[in-house]
Amino acid sequence: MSEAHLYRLLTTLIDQQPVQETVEQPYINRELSWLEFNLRVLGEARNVENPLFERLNFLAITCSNLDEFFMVRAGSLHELSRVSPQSTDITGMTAREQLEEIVNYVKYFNKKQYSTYHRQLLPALAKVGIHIVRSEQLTITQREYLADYFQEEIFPVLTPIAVDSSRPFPLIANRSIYLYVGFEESEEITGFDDYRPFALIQIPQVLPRLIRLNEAPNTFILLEDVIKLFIGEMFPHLTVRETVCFRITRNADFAIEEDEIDDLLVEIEDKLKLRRRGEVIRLEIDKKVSNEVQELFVDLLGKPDAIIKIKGPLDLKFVSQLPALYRSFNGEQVLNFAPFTPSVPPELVDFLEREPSAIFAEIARGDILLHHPYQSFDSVVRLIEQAAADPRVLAIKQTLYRVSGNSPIIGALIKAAEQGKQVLVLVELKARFDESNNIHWARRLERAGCHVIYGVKKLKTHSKITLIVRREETGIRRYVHLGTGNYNDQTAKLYTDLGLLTCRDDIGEDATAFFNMLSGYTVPESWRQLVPAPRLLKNRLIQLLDREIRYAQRGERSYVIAKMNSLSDREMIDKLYAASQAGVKILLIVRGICCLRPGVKNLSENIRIHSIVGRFLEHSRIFYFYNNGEPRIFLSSADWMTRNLSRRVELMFPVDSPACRSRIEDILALQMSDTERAHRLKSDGSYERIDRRGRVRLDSQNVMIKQMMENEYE
Amino acid sequence: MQRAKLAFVLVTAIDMRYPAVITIGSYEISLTIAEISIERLRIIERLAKTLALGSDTYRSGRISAEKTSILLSYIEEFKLKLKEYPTSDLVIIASSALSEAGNRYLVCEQIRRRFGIEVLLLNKNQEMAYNHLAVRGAYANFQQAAAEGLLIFEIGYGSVQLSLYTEGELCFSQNLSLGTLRLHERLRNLAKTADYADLIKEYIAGDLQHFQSFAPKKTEIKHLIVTGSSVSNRFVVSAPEEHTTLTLADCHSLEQNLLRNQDYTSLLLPTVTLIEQAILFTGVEQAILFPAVPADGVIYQLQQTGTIEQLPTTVIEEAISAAKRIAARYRTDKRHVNTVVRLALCIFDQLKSLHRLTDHDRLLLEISCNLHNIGKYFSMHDDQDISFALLQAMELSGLSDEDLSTIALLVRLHRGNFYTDSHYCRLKPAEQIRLTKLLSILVLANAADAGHSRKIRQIKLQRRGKYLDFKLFSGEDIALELHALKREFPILTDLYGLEVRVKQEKYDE
Repeated sequence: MSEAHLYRLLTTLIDQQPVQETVEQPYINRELSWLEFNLRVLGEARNVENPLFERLNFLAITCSNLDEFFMVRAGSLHELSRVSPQSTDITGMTAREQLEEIVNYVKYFNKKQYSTYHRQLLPALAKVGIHIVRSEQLTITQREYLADYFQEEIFPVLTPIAVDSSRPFPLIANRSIYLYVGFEESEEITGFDDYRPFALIQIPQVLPRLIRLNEAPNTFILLEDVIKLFIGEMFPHLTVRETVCFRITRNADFAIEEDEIDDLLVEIEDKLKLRRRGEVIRLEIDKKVSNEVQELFVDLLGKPDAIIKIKGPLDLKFVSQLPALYRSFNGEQVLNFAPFTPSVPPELVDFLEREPSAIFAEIARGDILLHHPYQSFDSVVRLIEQAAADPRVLAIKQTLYRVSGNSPIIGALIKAAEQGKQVLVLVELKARFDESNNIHWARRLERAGCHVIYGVKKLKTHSKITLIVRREETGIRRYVHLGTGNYNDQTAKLYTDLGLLTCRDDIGEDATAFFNMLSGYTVPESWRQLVPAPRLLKNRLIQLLDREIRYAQRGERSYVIAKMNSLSDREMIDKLYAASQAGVKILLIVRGICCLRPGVKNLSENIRIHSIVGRFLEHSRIFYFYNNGEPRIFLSSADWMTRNLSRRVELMFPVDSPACRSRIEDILALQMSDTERAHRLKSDGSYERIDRRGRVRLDSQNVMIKQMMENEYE
Repeated sequence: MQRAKLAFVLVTAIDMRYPAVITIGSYEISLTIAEISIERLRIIERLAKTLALGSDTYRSGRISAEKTSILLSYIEEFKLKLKEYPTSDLVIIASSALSEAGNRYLVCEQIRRRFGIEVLLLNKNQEMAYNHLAVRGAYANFQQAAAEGLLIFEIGYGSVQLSLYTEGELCFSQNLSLGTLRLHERLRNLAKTADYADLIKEYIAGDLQHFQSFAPKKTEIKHLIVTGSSVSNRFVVSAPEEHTTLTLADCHSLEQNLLRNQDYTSLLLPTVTLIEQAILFTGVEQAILFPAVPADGVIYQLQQTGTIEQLPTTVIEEAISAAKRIAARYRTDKRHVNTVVRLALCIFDQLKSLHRLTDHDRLLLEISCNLHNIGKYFSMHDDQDISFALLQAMELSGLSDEDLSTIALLVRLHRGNFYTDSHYCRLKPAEQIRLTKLLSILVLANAADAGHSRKIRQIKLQRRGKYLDFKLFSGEDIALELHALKREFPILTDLYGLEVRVKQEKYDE
């Protein structure tokens, strides 16, 4: 792929973009932008061109995304509205105003989500013989079967909690479905305050959410529906007045005052316990709930910011279990994406298939670019394993942010420590929702003799880097793996990321200095190739953009292509606006949040933004600066968000090998040409699918699978 | 086959050595790890922990117990770090913050007890020599620049060292107490004033003028190298493109940036101001920046000589060259001095089997011979006392305080009657013997040219049983020299128990 081709693609795309004359607000609110992203994921659940089971997965993803959004983003806004009610975001909205906008949007989103479930997915499931039935649809024999099932399997694990004047309202678990059971007042039970008596039942998470019915192998009923069906058996002496399912989401965003603590690990363990008691931000409740019960919840749960009435089952994540439960009787059906086996990079075939020790010689021959999940992440895992076994390896150092449940990487590090190698691992304990997992791994690694550090004070260490120090004939040589994604063998099958294997001296020296910095030594005065955040990364990006601006002002060709997950840093956005105004052509491929408003006259008419949402989660960060004909290409662990650039330890690294650069140009060109999974951000903040008219239909992720399987990139 | 290949690999890998140097500086404690072989020197790791020992020393004259404890813990961390490499030697050096502290020996003793390593307390001369070694290692055009006129401007936290090279040799060196931390400590109360930069300039300017008045006249400086522990690439990073030079304009713009950002004004501003002043008074267009530190010089020494005990040739040459310049400055009789040097080294080399002194002792002897008459510039009577006082404050590249003290004593005592000298008497027995051996050679060489007429061209020594025979080669009447020599021979008898016999031999041109 030539640079000229990239430029043609870019200019064509920008020229075709409609230009908005004016806008009231130059920025897009980040929360609403994120919600727009979730809507694009939902769009994939609605996309009939996707296989059915994949559509179910997309739907489930929207649910877990939204849960996390409420726990973290809405949670932090809730807190902000309390401590600093007047402070505003870049669009001028206060936290309270943002929360109100969020609630409005989520109500709209939920309608669309449930319409997808009821009107599209359930009928589509029925077509392949899968049914999720309600209790009134059961046959007599099915009902009898469920009665037995209830008695034998469900009843023993249910723990109803009666709430009355002598028993206070219990602690409701975050993200767990509960059944409210309201009773008529009687001698056996009385209410409290102004409320009539009721009990709460937590829908047990130890049982499957979907129960297969007898005589119909692909017909299921939801667990909560079965409990509701037989609720009378639990309270034989009471009259059940009303049953309502509900679910709450708590604020899980907590801050750690690192200046005042002795042991970060213990502090985080304590904070995790507090997370269970965070304030209720969202209440999801059955649409049929009575006013009385709704008032009760609002009162007892502390006035949640969002009360969302749901028409259908709560927490649709259960739909992702269907593919595993499905029993096919109709032969092969295309219900999933076609399976594919990640390819082995040609440079590493020998290493992976024949001669494990060949890896170091291969890296020494030249930099190797890895593109996951199209290329196997196994090569990274095996590299660590080989380093652990290699007698010439003196030390292994690695940063870990999120690792899988049974991480082979950690296994290899433990083995290396047991072999007497110096192993230094930075485990980021503050990685949200992975805190417990990371505490567990940190302790395992420490027990094995690894030197474990917990990151830099007040910063999250998000960089992905491994350093292997090896003593060779010519002296010490450092092998470095730098990545855009986590050292997680499981997510590496689903996230698109890039990794670079190199033994360049300058990068090796910087990597050494980087780990020293993480270990508490003074920050090096200068870096040869790596660009770390928070100190330098943003400045460097600004400097690179300034250079493009200077070229554009001189009337020379000037353009930037950048791919990232999110763009929300105001300084970066302003610099991009300035670049656009100077005539720099800019194409951004931003998968998620984007606060920049493209295509606005005299502001951003030279900026076009795409978002690709597909089979794999786009996760790589690629920054390409034309640099007057000598393009600079960087990969990074950082998005252009303030948190990444200012509050995290991140890395940006250059790709200089011609072969690797050419592949990255190919990736960018392919993604820019995507017509199937790409959306264009409009100047009003909404997204639209790419206009296919006059274009060759192209799904960049599918093309990449095909190319990698055929090793076409060679 | 596989085994043979592995054996080869191990043998070649073992040829590499991995020395490490811990530097106890004024502002930070650093560790430098290198990979060296006969052909190559590579710094493979450099890391540091901030610890402002200098602020203790420069304010209270001693290192506090709290900072000593932190220092020990940092050394402990460095020792752990060293496990990552097959480290061969570990050297601990200390610059002025520790060397000048009143309780330096107590701190060193704590380090010795805990880690089993003696700290090498560097004086200014040694720091300078190691920095020069480091610059030589880093700057490929060093020799050419030194030939054309080069000023090395070393900015440390405690002091600034100026070293002038002309015609390829070090010709003048001066240490000024203008280190960045020292400046900061002295001017800290004025740091928030608007004209802080001007105040620093004013403070610096006086001392720099002092240097100019002493530096050799008519010396054109064409190159300016700025180095030392306060110099870093941080300046370069903020410059638009990557380079290692700074012009006056760069300095000015950096100064403005630093003043705008109060966080950075503490040590960087004095550094930039010092560089700016150095450019101004040398008149060069730009300063070349080398963030070289003494540890690099130590590594270079280990590569060159294999040991920290032995100075590399370049340092020896610089020390001798400096001694000659000092001797010239005090108008000593150059021809006499050269004769004394030649004869002393001749005697030293022939008596090796008897005295068993080291090459380093030989260097001290050579320098002492060069300087033995400098006091005469001031007085013909008490010249040895004047020389003694002068030499103790002298800047001789690469020499330790003990070395300077030895040289000063040799010069003080070379007129004889030393057994009752109070300084001599205070020496430990082993030191007395070593000093006496060196002194015996200096006085014999000096006596051999008693008339300053270079009559004795060569001396040959031979031990025969209980005799030590001196053959003096000369074509002239050497009665005066013989008389002077005979007066000094008892020292040799005292030292080695040998009876000295002397004979003149015809010198054949």
